[in-house]
Amino acid sequence: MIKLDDRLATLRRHAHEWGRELRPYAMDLDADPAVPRALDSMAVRYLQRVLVPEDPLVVDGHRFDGVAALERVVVFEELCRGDAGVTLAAPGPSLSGVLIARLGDPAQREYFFSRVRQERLWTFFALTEPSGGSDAGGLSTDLSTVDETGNHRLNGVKRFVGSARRARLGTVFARTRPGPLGVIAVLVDAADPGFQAVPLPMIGLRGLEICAIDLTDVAVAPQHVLGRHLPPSARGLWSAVQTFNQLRPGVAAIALGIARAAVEYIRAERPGAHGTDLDRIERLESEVASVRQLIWAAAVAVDRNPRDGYLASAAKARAVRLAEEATLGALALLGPGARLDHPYLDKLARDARGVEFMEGTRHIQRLNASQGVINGRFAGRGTDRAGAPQPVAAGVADGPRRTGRRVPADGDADPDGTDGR
Amino acid sequence: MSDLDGPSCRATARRGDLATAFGRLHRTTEIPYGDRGHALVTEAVLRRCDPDAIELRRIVVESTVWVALRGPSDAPPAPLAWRRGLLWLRLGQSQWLLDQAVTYLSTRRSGDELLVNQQLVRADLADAATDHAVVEAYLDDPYATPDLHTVLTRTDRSLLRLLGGSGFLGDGPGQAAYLSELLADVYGGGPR
Repeated sequence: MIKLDDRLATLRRHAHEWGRELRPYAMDLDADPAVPRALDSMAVRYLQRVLVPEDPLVVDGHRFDGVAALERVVVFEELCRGDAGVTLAAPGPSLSGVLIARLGDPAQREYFFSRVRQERLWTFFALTEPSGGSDAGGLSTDLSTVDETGNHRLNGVKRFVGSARRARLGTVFARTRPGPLGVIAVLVDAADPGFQAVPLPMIGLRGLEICAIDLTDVAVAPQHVLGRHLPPSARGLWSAVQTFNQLRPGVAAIALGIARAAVEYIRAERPGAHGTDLDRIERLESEVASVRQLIWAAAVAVDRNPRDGYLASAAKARAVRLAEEATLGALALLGPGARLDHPYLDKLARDARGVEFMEGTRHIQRLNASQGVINGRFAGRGTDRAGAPQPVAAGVADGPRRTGRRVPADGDADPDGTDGR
Repeated sequence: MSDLDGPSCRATARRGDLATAFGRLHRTTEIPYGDRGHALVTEAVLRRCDPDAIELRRIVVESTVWVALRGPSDAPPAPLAWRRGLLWLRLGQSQWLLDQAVTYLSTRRSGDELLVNQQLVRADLADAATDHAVVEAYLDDPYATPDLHTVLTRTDRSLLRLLGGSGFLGDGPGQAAYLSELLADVYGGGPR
């Protein structure tokens, strides 16, 4: 079992409060995603600073910069337990920040993060395409043309890109030539001619304002090609895969936050539940605790080695399944008409469906995890394949193991014992 | 409700026309209420019935407006025959969703392979068709009452995953599946 050290436990307590501040905005943002909300909240202040160099958030004397995946999953669970839609609607470096921190040269990092520092800036991360989903190997967005000024010309269509309408800067994955080494990422200013983002009508996670992007001859200066200081093998598809490995535990934490919100909601609504109903609630609570451990272990694994994303895939698949089960299960426990009488729970059930499609569907994650099993690298839980204990990463320590479904595991309880709403 | 033709409702829903299927199901001037006094009907049915009810929300599916209502406290629940007809409707809708998934997967590729030829995908398609067969078998038996709504919701969720992000669009097949879940919530519900 992983137990957070004092620093991350402190962050978790505060993030719990930050998440609570988001909940009152949830339904309004769901109804009208065009109007950003909670912009002055602590949650947004944190999310705006994640990965921004030399601008860490200091909480109770501890510095937090969002560099470690473990830190991000701890915060994301708490914020998305408050509300996933409001969390994902926040300005800040977001997914592009992780990519640029990994691939950008000093000038690119300065260009991107200085803008994030100076203004309230939404960013976008454009990978998925209409024809091939989020299969990075199948990308067709074209960056092969170079004009007479030396700029690349970007042409293609992207889909399911969060916050693209409100964003002013972001990253786009494109192809300079066939094959895995031909995939690269570039920095794109949304104000440039040829860039158009249109919101798509979504069933859930509406706060994210998921968009389609049309790219027509968008000029990309050579200095905005990410990883230009690296050899092609280090900036191509393989590097993208390592970035996704680092992001995936965070997506899992979003799903976990939604699941937890649903479970806490039903606990508050059915305080006198007993018999099979109580069993169902306790089973869900137990799953929340175990999936949290899985996500933490996955984050520790990618923090140790960004290539080690197999556990992250397993965690994402399991967390999304739990989010669906918890939201549908909570609705069932409230009986007929629950979706109409409990609109927030209906929203959670809609939101849970959306996380499935973020950063690869369940099938993709299961296939990835199975590859780790086959090649012997699906270690997981701090043990190698033979079960030998491995050292834990900085920031975590082995903690006492508790067993029994009715005893919450460490980290399972609401940090301040408050209810779910 | 004696002339209720479940298979006809199913056939219409399987063509993706939920509104017409619902119209076939509902031919009276009485609003069908769930066990807790909620209703979810098309705007056309609402106009025909003109009930003493509070409007809770509206959902648009394929240009048809559906209206969720809360009726009077003494609103009589819809008859069992009507509820069984609703299951036929939801079965047809789920089969339509399966058809959509097969069509979608038959044109999408991962690398050089069509998605519809991948084993994980095929297993899901087989499971969905099997679930449909199970539901249909029970619908032939008026005395059997397993939770068929839950089976259909689970099946729809599995099919929506196969549709990728397009299954999450408010103007795509996922919206019809969402409406189907709402109908199950109002008229099926769960344990209380």
